Amino acid sequence: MPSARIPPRPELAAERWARVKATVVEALDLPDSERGAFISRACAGDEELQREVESLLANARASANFFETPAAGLLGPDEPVGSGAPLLAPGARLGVYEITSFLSAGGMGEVYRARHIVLGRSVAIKIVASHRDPTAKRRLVREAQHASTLSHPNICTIYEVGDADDVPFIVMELVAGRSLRDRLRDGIPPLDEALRIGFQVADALEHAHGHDIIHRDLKSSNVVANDGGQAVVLDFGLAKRLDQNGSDVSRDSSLTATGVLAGTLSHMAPEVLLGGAADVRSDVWALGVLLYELTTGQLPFTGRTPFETSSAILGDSPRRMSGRVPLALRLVIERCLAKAPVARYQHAADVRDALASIERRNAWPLVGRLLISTRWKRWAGWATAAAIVAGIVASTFALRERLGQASGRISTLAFVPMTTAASDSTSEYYARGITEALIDRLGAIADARILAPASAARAAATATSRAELARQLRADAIVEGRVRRGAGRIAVDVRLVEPTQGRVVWSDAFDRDAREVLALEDDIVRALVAEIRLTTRPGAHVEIAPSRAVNPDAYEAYLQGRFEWNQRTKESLTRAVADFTRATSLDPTYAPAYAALADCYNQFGTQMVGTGSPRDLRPRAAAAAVRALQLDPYSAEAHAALGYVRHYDWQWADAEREFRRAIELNPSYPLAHLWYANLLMSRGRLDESIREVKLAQDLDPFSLVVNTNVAWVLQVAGRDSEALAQLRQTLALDSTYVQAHMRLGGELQRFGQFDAARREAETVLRLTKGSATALAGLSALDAASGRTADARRELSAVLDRARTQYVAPGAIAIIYAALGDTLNQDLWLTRAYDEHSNAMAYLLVDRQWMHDATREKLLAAVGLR
Amino acid sequence: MNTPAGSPTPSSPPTGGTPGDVTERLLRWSSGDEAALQQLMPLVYDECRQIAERQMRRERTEHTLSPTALVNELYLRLVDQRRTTWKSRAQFFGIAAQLMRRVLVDHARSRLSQKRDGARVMVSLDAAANVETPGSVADLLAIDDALTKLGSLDPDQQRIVELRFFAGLTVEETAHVLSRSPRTVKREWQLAKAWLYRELSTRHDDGQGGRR
Repeated sequence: MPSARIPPRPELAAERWARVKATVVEALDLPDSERGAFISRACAGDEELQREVESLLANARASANFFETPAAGLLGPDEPVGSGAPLLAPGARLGVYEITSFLSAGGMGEVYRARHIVLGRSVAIKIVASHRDPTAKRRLVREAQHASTLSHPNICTIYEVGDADDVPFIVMELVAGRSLRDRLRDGIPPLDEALRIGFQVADALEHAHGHDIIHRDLKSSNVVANDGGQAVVLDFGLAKRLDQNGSDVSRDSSLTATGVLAGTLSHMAPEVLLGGAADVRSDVWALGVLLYELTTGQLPFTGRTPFETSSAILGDSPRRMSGRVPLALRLVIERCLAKAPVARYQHAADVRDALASIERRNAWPLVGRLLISTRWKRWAGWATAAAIVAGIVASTFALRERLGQASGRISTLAFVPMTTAASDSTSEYYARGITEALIDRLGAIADARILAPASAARAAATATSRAELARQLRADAIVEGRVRRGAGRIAVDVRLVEPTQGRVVWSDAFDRDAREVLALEDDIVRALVAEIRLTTRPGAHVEIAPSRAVNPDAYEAYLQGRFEWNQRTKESLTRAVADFTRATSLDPTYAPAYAALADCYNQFGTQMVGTGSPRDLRPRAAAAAVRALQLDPYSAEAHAALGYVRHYDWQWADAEREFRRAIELNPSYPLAHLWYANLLMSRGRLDESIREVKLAQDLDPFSLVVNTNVAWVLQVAGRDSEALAQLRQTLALDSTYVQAHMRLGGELQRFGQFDAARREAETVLRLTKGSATALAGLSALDAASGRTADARRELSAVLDRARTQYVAPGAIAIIYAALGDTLNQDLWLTRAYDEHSNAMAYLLVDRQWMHDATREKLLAAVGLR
Repeated sequence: MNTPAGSPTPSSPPTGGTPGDVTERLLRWSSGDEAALQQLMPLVYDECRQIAERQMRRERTEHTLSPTALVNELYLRLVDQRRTTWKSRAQFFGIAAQLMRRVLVDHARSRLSQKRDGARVMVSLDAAANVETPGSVADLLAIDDALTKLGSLDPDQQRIVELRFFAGLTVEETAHVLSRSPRTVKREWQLAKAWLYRELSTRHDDGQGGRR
């Protein structure tokens, strides 16, 4: 035995050990390659010491996993050391109740089925197993006292608290049905049922929270659902009183010392796990876990040991959800499971409403229905859609297996920009344009998240492997391809790649006359739908109908325009307008070119691009969008462009209708979500707005404008720290993105960090090469921070510019507001109103306009009051 | 009910501590009253036993209550934090970890005496290995012996193992209790594991693993 070598005298043993310890500990820090030399040096010829050190180091490697599970966790199930059998046998009496059977044992007590001997009513009775324990006893009584104040169809009713021979017991409603945990063993419920259960549980929590009671142990075994789909939440067993700030109130310090750890690890929020106080938001977390379970049948955070589970809860993202979970629901669940309580929904009602809106909106929730439902009557309703995809579906099962998708369905596809052959003269824009067109078309019919082209391209440019690319984009599969043109024909090779192994699971070649390029795209889309077994959405059959011919030159001009549009600079947008106009004159019936033209005019009207007054540009945008819709009423792009026009023309209801229609037609179109989010923000519907903008972000995760707008909405919603983090994240994507610098500057200014704000304003000035808008921003900042002389000098420079070029009047009004010059402020505001400046749409939420008497009048004028 | 939920219990019940008792004794012990420790130990031991029993009663799959939190829970439940300092918290964790070790070892011992041979509480030497695999498991009683031996050589190492393995604290929590850096604790923990692992696997090879 090694320890036998240690000399017997304790002081010597201790000295020797100290040397061993110091050497081993230091060696542990070194890479393997350096250890040998270090040990020889440290032991300086003391062979025994060296042997001991080396032996311990070898054992350190072998014992890496040793002892990492705490002892109590290793003991596992065992018969109870104390009382094992149920306390009460059938026939036993508790006051006026007679026990009929034992139902279950939980953390705090045992539950029996019992009968009221006079009334015959069946009830459930809960007693504390070790009822001699005064702590448990008091906790039980308190549980009942709190929970009996609740009366809600989705909360188990407490009838009374009894006490027989000093054994306290709680008499509760006997709930028929099985616990969700039980039910989940048979598989997950259909999506609509999962949504309904989630809604009811959220509503139950909201009710309890309204009575200052938090559940603290919400989990699938604590929710019972009956066959009618009604869910009942049991066991507000660890409920605590909340004070008005939502934190614990320690009314009885022996029981409610802040952060008493109780609850179930798998559903425990990180802050609770760390010993913090449970509050409404830790219930929201548990609700997120429950929703995750309901939609996937699994837990979001798991590990081989409780320790690993805790680590996952504290540090990991939830396990990837099955592709069948609709995007909108996935976002709701992910938000419930945000590590920081402030990043979660702040109220159970928010979750409830989000679930309701998913149920209502028939865009995303349709995901999975075709697949999940085994009820034939459902299929009947969708006979039309089903008939069209029927031939397609039949051939697809084999491919699913090749993809190795356990869940059986691809829910997110990323298209890598198609390449061109080296010998080919095909320009990059054409290949990119085809890629984009495929994305648009597939997005319009497939029930899947199709990543926006720019984000996919960005990830493709930076990722070192397909696996990494897929991870960045959270994509299940990657589509790659190559475009060739020549002799009036177009050929496209397409392949579908499974990202983790890099296996090509499907590939095909398509070839058509150049005039039939749209039909060629249809061929590809149709093949993809078939091969990947993408579900198509109801109504999508319209889009899958064979496409007509298009003038190849018009199409090429259109693709060139798309390429320019994607650059989003003033110059590139001007070129895009020229390209799209050329496309419409070559083929006056090609709808996408009109829709794209409308988008360009809309962008020209924004403050940043600002090439002209919206008074001139907006009618042109409207005309192009309307023309596009006349040609193709199913164009999501055209509906979204028209929605944009209506939004800034203060046609609130019309705008909303257009955006919703656009999203319905193509749920993968990020700009529709983005602009709809802006509309919702305009109207002060911030929660909806955040949800919508996050959908855009999910589809186009690397888009600068989307990321910046996420920050904007968060900022407006008062979630400043998140907004700041989001802005810094955006700037990490591209440090030269002007909009993000502007927003960041504005945010810093609001917090009085004028120096930091000035650095941002100067960056904007530099990046825009001294644009009037940037100068106006700097002037407003100087005015606000008391540098009045600077502000006035910059203001006069801005006014000079405004004589010869378009400067958004709102930008000037803000300077006067900061200078306290109400007369001039009103003058410029009136101009902004007259030309329907974009800024006018945000009067309700833009904090820069606060405390302004004119504001109320304007709000009424634009229909926001 | 005799005891309304809102009022503190005036005196110590026969079993289990109340915050008043535990806090009082902890404070007295912190200020040098060794007799207070003697009174504190049985109270905390009893609570440790209840926690361990609860842990063992539970289905493993449900992961109810994190073992990492066992001692935290104990502290939060037994001690009135408004009256104690950080120092007494560290002291409490130290004794709770020792007592948790004793509870588990006592349990293993009583199981051995109650049942026929083979009812040892076995602990896997490698978290990934099957407990049934010969050579990969050690008797909890053997671990206790080895740890005592390590403690006679280096009491600090013993404390770290008690806090990490028996009380289930994380490296960071252990570092906090011992007022050391997590980095130091992590390295010392590695060393302690290596020493114990060697000790236990050597015994096994020597055929001594089955004693008692």
